[in-house]
Amino acid sequence: MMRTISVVVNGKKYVEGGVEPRMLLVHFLRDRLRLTGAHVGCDTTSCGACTVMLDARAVKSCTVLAVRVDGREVTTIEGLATNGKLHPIQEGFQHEHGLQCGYCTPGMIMSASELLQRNPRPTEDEIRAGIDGNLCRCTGYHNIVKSIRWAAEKMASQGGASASAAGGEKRNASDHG
Amino acid sequence: MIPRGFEYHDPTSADEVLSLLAEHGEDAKLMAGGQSLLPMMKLRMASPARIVDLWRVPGFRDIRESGDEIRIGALATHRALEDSKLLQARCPLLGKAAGLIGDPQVRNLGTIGGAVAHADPSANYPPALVALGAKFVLRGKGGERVVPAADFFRDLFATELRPTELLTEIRVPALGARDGWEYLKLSRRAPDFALVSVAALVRANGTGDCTGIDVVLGSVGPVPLRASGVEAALRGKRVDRADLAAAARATALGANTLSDVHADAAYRREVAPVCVRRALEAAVARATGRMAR
Repeated sequence: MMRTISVVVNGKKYVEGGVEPRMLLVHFLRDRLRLTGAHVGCDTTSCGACTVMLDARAVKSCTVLAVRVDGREVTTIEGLATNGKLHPIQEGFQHEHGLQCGYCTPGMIMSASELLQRNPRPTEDEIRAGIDGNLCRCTGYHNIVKSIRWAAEKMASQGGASASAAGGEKRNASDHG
Repeated sequence: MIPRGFEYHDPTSADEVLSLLAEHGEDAKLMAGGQSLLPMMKLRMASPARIVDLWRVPGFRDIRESGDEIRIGALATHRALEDSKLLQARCPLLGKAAGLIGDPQVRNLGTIGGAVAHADPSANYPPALVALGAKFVLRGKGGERVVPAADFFRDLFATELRPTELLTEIRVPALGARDGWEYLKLSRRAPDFALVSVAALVRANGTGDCTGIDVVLGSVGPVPLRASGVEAALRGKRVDRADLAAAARATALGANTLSDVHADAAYRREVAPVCVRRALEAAVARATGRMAR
């Protein structure tokens, strides 16, 4: 039976009908809302290219049923920049050349975003553990790690003001699936 | 990939879940975090006719102390266990096992109850929970029953849980201040399933005599394997002077040892004693105060 779901994505409320229970969140975002920043890579919960924030937690949107986001908040890569100004993590990837083909980048940035909310000053090991769930087949991760470190320093120098850009502190009691 | 179509229920109470299970029996498949079930459905390794999704069911997510036990709601995420200050203080073995599951995104959604009920032979929790002497609370229409972890896992992906029952809580005895512990997982890459995993608990008295020992392996057979030979080699001995490598060599894997493309049975037999030795060394170091607990 088709469902209607109501969800806030990047601060904007959407009410979408005709959602099949088997529809995956990544397809809902890409095909229904035309937010194509979350990529379908491996489609088997491995590569992390589809990573988005669900109530301030990084999740793989290829492994979440769209009906499960009813009444909740999603942030995608499209929601990180504010007023046309890139988020410090996005700036970091630009500054430190954290991408080549760019396919993994939105997912990397969303994972980094959760990491820096949890741990604003991560060590290199902690950064690498934070992106365990994201695969890059171009850069060998070195510049990605540098990009995240660059962002951490920038955000620290701004007093952590950017932390709210990726979904803020809001945590829903039932946000853990 | 898109899963095959299914009837979808998203009940809002445990009673409603039990009614759906009573009505639909084996046709109904429970979904907790969905981090194992959904990939299997996408790959068409599973095509349940009916999904009973637990995400709207309130509660069952707390991790709390009750006497000498820690009670963990079945819908607590791996991330919640990993981050739990209570587990870090009272049962760090379980917190470490949780933190080594999959990757951060999977840990944000996957739940302990889902993982335990799924009973993947390579999963982290089963050996940890058997070593700890955990108990599982299974709720049915007629009431609850409490099953020890060692009796819960029956075979590959098969458990004591009946199709009409819901796993609601995992109860774990808190560790004592002097209990040495370790959980380790050998895998090709960090997010991968274990090729071999070991949960070890070593209890020593004031003079260093081993008064209790639990060594349980995961990912080597259909269900967690207690290394009885290793335990017998160390029980009652002075752990600080024991030859741990010799004890670890008593690790004996059975005829049903798992074998797959990443690690055949011969390889698992070769590395299991090495993993056991490393786990024992860390657990003994903690038990004798030579390593941070």
